[in-house]
Amino acid sequence: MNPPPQRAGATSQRNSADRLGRLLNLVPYLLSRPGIRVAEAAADLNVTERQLREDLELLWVCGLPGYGPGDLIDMAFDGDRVTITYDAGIDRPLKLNPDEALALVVALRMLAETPGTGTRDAIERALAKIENATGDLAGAPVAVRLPADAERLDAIRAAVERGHALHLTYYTAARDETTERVVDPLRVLMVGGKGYLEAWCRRAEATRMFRVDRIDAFRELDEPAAPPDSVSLHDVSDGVFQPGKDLPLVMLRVGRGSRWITEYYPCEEVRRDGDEWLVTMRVTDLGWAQRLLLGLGPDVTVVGPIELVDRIRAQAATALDQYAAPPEPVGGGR
Amino acid sequence: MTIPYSDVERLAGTLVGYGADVRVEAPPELREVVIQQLKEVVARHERVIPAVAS
Repeated sequence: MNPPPQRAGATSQRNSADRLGRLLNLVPYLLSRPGIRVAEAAADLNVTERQLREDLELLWVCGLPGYGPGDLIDMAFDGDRVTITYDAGIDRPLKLNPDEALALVVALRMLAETPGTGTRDAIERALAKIENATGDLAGAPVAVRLPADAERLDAIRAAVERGHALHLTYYTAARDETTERVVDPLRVLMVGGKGYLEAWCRRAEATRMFRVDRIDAFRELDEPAAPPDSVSLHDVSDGVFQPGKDLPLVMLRVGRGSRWITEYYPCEEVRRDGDEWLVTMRVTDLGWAQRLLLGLGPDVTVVGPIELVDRIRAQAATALDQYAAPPEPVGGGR
Repeated sequence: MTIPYSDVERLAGTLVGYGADVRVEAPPELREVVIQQLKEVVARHERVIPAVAS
């Protein structure tokens, strides 16, 4: 056999991690198969016989602190057969401390609730074992919030996996309208606790993120999904909405009562100015900004752009005009 | 349509957000608050002609 090629640092690091995993597996594997042939074990573990012999040699010098005879793993070779004669306590059951157990329980519950997880059975079995073993924790006051639209998310994920195009009835909050469109799905993902479908939208001729809870209805089409080859997936590590530099910049004067918007929406700048805050944010759509800001009432004043100032004033004025006439008698009108 | 509420100011804020799509018929105190808030929004967004620096 040729000597292994010179390895780069990263490769050798990965190799040692692989090897550690292999070694940890090796002991219980051999313990349950005393006298197994090295060749057979190598085939089972999917390594070369030579690699396995190297692993065994390393195992020989592993064990408990003290590292004297009686602390180290010991094994007997009989021709091409191997038996572990002393396992240095590696078969001792793992005892989790309460923090470790709680972390595992929370992580597993989260995983079990994540829609579309294929191995839910295995997760639930593991969870039951840990909860049994730790006793007190079974009733730990840990709630894992699951998205209300889990079923829909599962259904969409299944459709995406079948590789078909989808027809969506989708509510666009920014324009307060419901649209029909055909999309070529790319993937389903969870960001900040919300489910999204990322897809090539044939109507917009661009990649779009669809919030699953805003998909009013969807139909799987017979035709296969065919997104253009050039599409790339969004980097969502900083959240789904990443305001680009080309989006309109809105400047606001915000009072205490509406200051939450600076925490709820991504802002470019938030500056304290007496009792108010001067806030700059990028918005995809002035219509959306108009609805949001009008709803915040007199607590928010738009400083710019002037177009948005005019639109808000005009909209408020139109609403005010309705009150010029006296109210219809109650019960008289519709 | 008829909706229950507990806080006049808050409901008024929500209703103002709908602009001309919503008109409060009754009760009068809610109507007054909505009108007041709309007036204030208009006033706050009145175009101020900036003083020309000489």
